[in-house]
Amino acid sequence: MATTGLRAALAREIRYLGGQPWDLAMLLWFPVASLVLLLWIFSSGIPTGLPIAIVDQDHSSGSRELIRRLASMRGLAVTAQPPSLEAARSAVRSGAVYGIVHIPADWDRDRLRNVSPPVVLYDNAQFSLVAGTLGGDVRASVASMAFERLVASEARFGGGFAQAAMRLNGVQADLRTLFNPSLSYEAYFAGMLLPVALHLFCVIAAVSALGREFRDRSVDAWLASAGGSLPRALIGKLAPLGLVYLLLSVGLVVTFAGWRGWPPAGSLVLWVVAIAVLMIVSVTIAIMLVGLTLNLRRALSLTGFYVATGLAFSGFSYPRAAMGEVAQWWGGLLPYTHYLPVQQGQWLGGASAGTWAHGMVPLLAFMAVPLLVGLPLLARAVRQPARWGAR
Amino acid sequence: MTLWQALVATVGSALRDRGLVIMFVAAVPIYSFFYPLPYATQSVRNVPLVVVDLDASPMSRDIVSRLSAVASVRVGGRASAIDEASGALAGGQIAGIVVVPENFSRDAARGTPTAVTVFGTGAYPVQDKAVLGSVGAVLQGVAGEVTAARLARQGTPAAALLQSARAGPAFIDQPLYNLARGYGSYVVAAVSILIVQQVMLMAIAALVGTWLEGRTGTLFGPQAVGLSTLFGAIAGFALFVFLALLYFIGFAFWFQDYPRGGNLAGAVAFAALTALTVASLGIALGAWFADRERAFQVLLATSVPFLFMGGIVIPREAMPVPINALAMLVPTTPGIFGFVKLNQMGATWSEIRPEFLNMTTLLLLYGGAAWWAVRVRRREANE
Repeated sequence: MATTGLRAALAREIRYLGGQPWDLAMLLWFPVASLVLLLWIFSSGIPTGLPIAIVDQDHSSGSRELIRRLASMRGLAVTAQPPSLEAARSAVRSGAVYGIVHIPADWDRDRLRNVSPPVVLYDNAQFSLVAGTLGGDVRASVASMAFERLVASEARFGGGFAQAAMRLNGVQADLRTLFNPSLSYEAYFAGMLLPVALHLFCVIAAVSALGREFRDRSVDAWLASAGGSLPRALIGKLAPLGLVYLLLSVGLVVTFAGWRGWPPAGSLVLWVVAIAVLMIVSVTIAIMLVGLTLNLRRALSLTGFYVATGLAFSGFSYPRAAMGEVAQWWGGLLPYTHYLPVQQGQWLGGASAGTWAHGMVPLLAFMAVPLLVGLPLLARAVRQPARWGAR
Repeated sequence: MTLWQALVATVGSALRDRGLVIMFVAAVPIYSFFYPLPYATQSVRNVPLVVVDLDASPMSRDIVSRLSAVASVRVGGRASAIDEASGALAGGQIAGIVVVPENFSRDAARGTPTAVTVFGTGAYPVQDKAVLGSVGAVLQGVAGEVTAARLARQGTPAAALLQSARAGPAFIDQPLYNLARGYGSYVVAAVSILIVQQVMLMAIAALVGTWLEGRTGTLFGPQAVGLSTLFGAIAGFALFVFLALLYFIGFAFWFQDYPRGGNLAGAVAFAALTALTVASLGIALGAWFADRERAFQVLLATSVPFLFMGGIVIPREAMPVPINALAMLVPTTPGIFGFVKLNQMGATWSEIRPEFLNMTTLLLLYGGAAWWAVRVRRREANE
């Protein structure tokens, strides 16, 4: 009897999806298309050829050498050499270039005497990542010329250029980035955004599946198909989409680790378990949101507020340690905030199983707490037809 | 219906819908306080790193105390060996390890090449940049002092040392518009436009879907619907979008002290154009979905791709050509660029020409789509 009820509820859900192309599309095709789109957006890895303007008011062999070095940087493309800063500023405002390199008059002559005004990069800081790339590349070009001059002047103490360079580099900072050392945008953005997109899609799908029974006042037919048992009705309803999202999440891991070629530094199995738990958490959160609202539209609005904004609070770009207290506290209430370090640890960092287990504790709590909130509310509401049908 | 009647009827319908009036009136202000919360502190700070000081000299302690004075990082602990801290770096509890090698100060004094090694984590690129950048800057200062001391020993005249010490920097990286390089100033300027679009599209499409379900409202009631009715409905919905945009441009940016007010008149004019475009798209989507809740399901999931396709976070130069072409169909693409240029960068009207043309094209496209979708749905309803 128990399995018959479950199987009947399952069959009812699958029959419904078969007859409703919109719902099936929302469950399956739309998420898949979005994930492919996101992967495509970030596919180029590292930005190259960012257009800049150069205002050369020096017109010396030194300034031409600097322009040559700037043009040879992978991240930059010198697309304009306007005569004045004013003309260059307009090019920035119109979006034609992201920055201006200004080489002042007599720069080359004066720098030999250590009195030259600096080369200035004006970068458009409304484009934060771009500005960072420009700053790094232009700084490196200017520094390479300055260093050569320093070596030439140091060489007077003897030992030739090689020893002079060694003396000047006596104390250095050896800067190394571990895990994703090239800082590929694809590994960074796609790696962090695709799981949260899948998490969001899964909540939307589960909220929709559950919420539409209340919207359509079909709760009794749904319960009846499962022999009147709410747990069996829930499992029958949520199992198809749960399975779809478990498969999609495994597909995501396979895409990153296999097809895109970033094998996990930690454990593939532990990563898969973590993302599978995130999908189950998505379903339990949907149960809570529908239980709290008994209204499909409101449950979806709450999904927007609670899940869709989660990325900003998760610390994926702006670090959590830098946030104010309220933002840190709210971020702690979101499952994705806890999933992210677990994934990055297993995928890129190669964190230990102990670290993984420690990180999984809050995620497991997110499996339990929403159920404790949502199930009693649903159990009460399914016996109160007067509360169905709210839109 | 005349245009004016349709406008009044549309505004009234939006305000009377008890479920959707919150979306039309209150959701944007709520999001305007909620969404920027993580970025309110503006600059990256307190990124935790661990120091492994194998030298234990006055010079190495000096490096640590200088690091402690840098706002972007926080010396979160000491370790006696790299292995002790590497687990925390892999697990993401810390973002960097700074290793001062044995005999560092002795080698520095003798001129034997030596280096402080810094390990950052590419799993969190923003934190990685903060760690490498701040340690690099501190080390540059130390290296400069060491070099000056050596030059003095080698007999360089004091006057020459003083002159080079006083020489200004060879290079200045000067930010434009977002003068403090605020993280919030960059993110919120862009996301605010996305919030307005998504919230308003959901609200408009949901209301139009509700009209269609009930065979009622400005566009799907029993009365004849001509172009003047459609224009009235577009104008009525556009009013809410326009007010939401003005709220951000005029109040939210000011209240939260983000860069603003570059070309106010231009921004207001562009807001009117954007509002009409979003309203037209909302009507088209609502007539297509034919359902009160569908818009929420579809649009919730599109926010993330829309933001990244827009070209503010990831530059257009780094995206495939078809993605950039597709992005031009979304009002936020010219919208975010246009508003950032006008509000934050102070662009003139001629400097936002590409965005103006793109948005105008979308208005014609989605206005036509709305007209077509409404006519198809009305014909279906009458059959």
